[in-house]
Amino acid sequence: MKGIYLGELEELVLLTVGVLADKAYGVSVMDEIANTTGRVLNISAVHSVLKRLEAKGMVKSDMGGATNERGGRRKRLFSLTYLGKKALDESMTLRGSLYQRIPNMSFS
Amino acid sequence: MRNQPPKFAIKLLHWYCNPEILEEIEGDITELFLRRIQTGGGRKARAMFLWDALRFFRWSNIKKNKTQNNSINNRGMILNYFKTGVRSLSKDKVTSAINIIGLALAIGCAVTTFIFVDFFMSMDTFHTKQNSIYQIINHVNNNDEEQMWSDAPLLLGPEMKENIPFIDLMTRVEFGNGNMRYKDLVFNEGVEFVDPDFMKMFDFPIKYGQRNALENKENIFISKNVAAKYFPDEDPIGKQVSIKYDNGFIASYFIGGVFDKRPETASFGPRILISMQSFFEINHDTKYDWSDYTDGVFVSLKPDHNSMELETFFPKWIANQNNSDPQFITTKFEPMVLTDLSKRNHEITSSIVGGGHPAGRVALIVISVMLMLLACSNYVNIAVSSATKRLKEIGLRKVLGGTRKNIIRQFMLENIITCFLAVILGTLFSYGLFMPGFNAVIPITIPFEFSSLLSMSLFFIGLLFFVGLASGAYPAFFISRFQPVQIFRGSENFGRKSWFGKVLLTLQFMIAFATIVGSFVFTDTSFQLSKKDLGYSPGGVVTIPIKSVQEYEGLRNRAVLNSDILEVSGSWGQIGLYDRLTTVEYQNNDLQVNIYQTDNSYLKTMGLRLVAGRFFNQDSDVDKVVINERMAKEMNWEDPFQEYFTFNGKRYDVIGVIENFNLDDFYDKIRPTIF
Repeated sequence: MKGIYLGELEELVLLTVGVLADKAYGVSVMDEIANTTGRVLNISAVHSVLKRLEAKGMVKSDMGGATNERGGRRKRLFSLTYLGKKALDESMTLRGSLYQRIPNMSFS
Repeated sequence: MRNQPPKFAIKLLHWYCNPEILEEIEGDITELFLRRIQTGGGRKARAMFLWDALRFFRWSNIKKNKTQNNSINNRGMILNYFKTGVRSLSKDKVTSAINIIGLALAIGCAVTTFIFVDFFMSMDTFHTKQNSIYQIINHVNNNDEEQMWSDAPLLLGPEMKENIPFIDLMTRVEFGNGNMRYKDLVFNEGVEFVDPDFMKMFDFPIKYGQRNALENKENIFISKNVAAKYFPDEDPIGKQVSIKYDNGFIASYFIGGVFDKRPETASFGPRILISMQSFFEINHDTKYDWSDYTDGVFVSLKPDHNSMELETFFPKWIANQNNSDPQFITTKFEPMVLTDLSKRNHEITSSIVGGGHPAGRVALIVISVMLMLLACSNYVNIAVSSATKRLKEIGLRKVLGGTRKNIIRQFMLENIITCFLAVILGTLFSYGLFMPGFNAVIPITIPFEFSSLLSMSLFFIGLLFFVGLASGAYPAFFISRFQPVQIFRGSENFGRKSWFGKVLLTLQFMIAFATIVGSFVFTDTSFQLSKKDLGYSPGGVVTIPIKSVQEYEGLRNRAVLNSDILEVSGSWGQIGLYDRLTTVEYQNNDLQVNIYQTDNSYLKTMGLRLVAGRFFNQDSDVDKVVINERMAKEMNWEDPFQEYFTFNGKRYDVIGVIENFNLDDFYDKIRPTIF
C-alpha cells in the first residue's frame, strides 16, 4: 500500500482532476470542489495538493496555452496518470468491499 | 489602478516564489482576482489577492538557493568553526579574558546608560491617557524676556472646559501650605488643590478608597507616606483631620482615599489632594480674575482630537489676560503633551513635574559611545596581533580549499561567540555593579528594567550587531587576506601594523586620555567648588522658615537658653535660599537689588565679613543699611558712607560694607545686595 497512499483531500483532488479531464488546473479544481462538496479551499492549498500528487506520480502536468483572462499567463493543466487511475480504482474497490461487509442492522 | 492587483503583492510573489512555478501561481490568483472584481468590490479583491500571495508562501514554493545543496557539509563546517573558536578562546586565557572583560565593561556602561535614558524617556507613560493629556504652558513676556511658565491664569481651565467641546477632562493644580492636625499630631504639609477630574485624568495607583472621592469637597486624598505619618497603625479612611492654612482659615476634611506608592517613572505625584472648591472657600474673600495664576492647568482631549485644534480658542483668553495683567503679558498658550513635560522641564519656570536637564543624559550617552569605541578598537588591535599565532591554521584552511569568504565567516563567528559572552558579562556588570552604584549617587532609584520588551530586544540585538561588526569586521578581513604561500614560506611581515591599526591605536589612546583627564578635571572642579569660599560661612547654620514675628520671638527665647546654640538671628529672606529682588531708587535711577531685612546678629550668625563701617547694633539703626562691595561698585560710590538711596519712599543711609558673597552657585553673577 505504501507509495500509493492517498490522504482525504488528495483523493478528492485526484478525483476532481479525473472528472475535469483535460481542463484541470488550479482554479478549475478549486471551483469544482466548491461546487460539488461545498468545501471552499484556498488556491494555495489546491496547488500544494496537486504538487504532492505530481510528486507521487499520480498526475502529470503540461503548460497550456496563454489566455487573456489571466493576464496572458499560461495554465498548468493536470491529467491522471495510469498510477493515479490505479490508485483511485484500488481505493474505490477497498471502500466498496468494506462497505458491502457492513451487516444489515437497524440504526437507532 | 482599481482593476490592477496590488503591486506590492506581485513584487512579494516574485521575490520569494520559485521561478519554475511562478507563472501558474500568478496566473491562478490573477484569474481569481479578475473574477472577484466582477462580483465584489475592487478593494476586497485587492485584499484577497494579497492574502493569496501570502498564502503561497510555503516551503515548497520558495526559491531555493542552488548553493545550499551542500547544506550538511556546511553545518559540519560551522560546527568546526565553533569548535576552533572555543579552543582558541580557551587556549590563550589571558588574552581572551582581557578581550571579553574589556568589551563587557563597555557593554555594561552602555546597558546602564540605556536603562537610565530609557527610564527618563518613559516618564509618565503609566498614565493610560498619556498622549491626550496636555499642560497649558503660559508663554510670558517678562521684562522683554520670553519665559515659559507652568503657571497659567486660574480662570483658563474652567473657560476651556466650558467652551471647547472636545475637552474631555480639565484640572488645575494649585499648591498650598498648611498645618495638618490629626488628634495631637501636627505637621506642616504641602497640599495640592485640584479639580475632581484630576483623579480621572491621571492613573496614580490607589491603595484605599474610591477614585471619585474628591467629588465631595470634604474629602481629601493623601499619599502613602502622609498616611504612614498620621495613621501608622490604623485604617485612615474616613478619619477626620483639620488643616490650618497660612491665612488662618481652618478647614476640616475626611480622608477619602490613600494613594499607593507611585511608580518610579512618575515625574510628579500628589502629596495631599484637596478639592479646588475647598480652595475657593479658604480664600472666600478674594475675587479672582484673569491676573490670578494657578500652578498648572491640565486638560485631556477626547479621542481623535489633537492639540492644534485648541489654538483657535486661545486669542480671546490671551486678550482677557493681557487686559487684566499688563505686567506679565501672555504671548501664547502652548499645550504641551504630558510625556514631553519631564523632558522639557528645564525650559519651564516653576514646572510641576520633575525631570532634570537633558545635558546629563547626552553626556552619559557620549561617554558610553566613547567607551564602546575604546573597547572595540582595543579588541581589534588585540585580535589582529593574536591572529598571527594562528597563521598556520589559516594557511592550511586556504590550502585545503577554504575561500576567503570561509575564513571571514569563521572569524566573524568566533567574534560573535566572544561578543555574546561579553554581552552576558556586561549585563551582569551593569546589574550587579553599575546600576547599584549609579542609584547610590542619584536621588531616585532606577530599577534594572526596560520600558518594554520591544525596546529591550531592539537594544540588545543592536548592541550585539554593533559590537560584533565594530570589533570583528576588520580583523576578519585583515586575517583572511594572508596568502598561504607567504605564510608557509614565512615571508609575510605580519608584525607590521597597517595604517588602520595605527589610526585605531592612536584613537584609542586619545579617547582614553581624554576620558581620564576629563573625569579628573570634572571631579577636581566639583571638589574645588565645594571648598571654595562663598564669602560667608553656611556651615553649622540651621534655617527654620517661620511665618510671624511672634513665632520668631517665641522660638528665639527658647533657643537662647540652649548652650549648644551660639547665635540666633531672624531675617526676612535668607541668603542662599531666597532671592529678594527689589527695586531701589538712587538719584532718580532705578537699581535692581536683593534686600534682606535682618536683625542685629544676622551678620555674625551667617559669618559675613565686614570690609568697612559697622553692622547694626542698636534699634535706632532702622533707617540704616549695610551693602555689599558689588553695590558700592555699581553705584560708583567713592565713599559709600556719605551716600543714601530711597526705597519705598524712605531714605536709607549706608553704615557698613561687606565682602561679596555667592548666593547659590558660581554661575549666577553676584548681585548688589542690601541688608
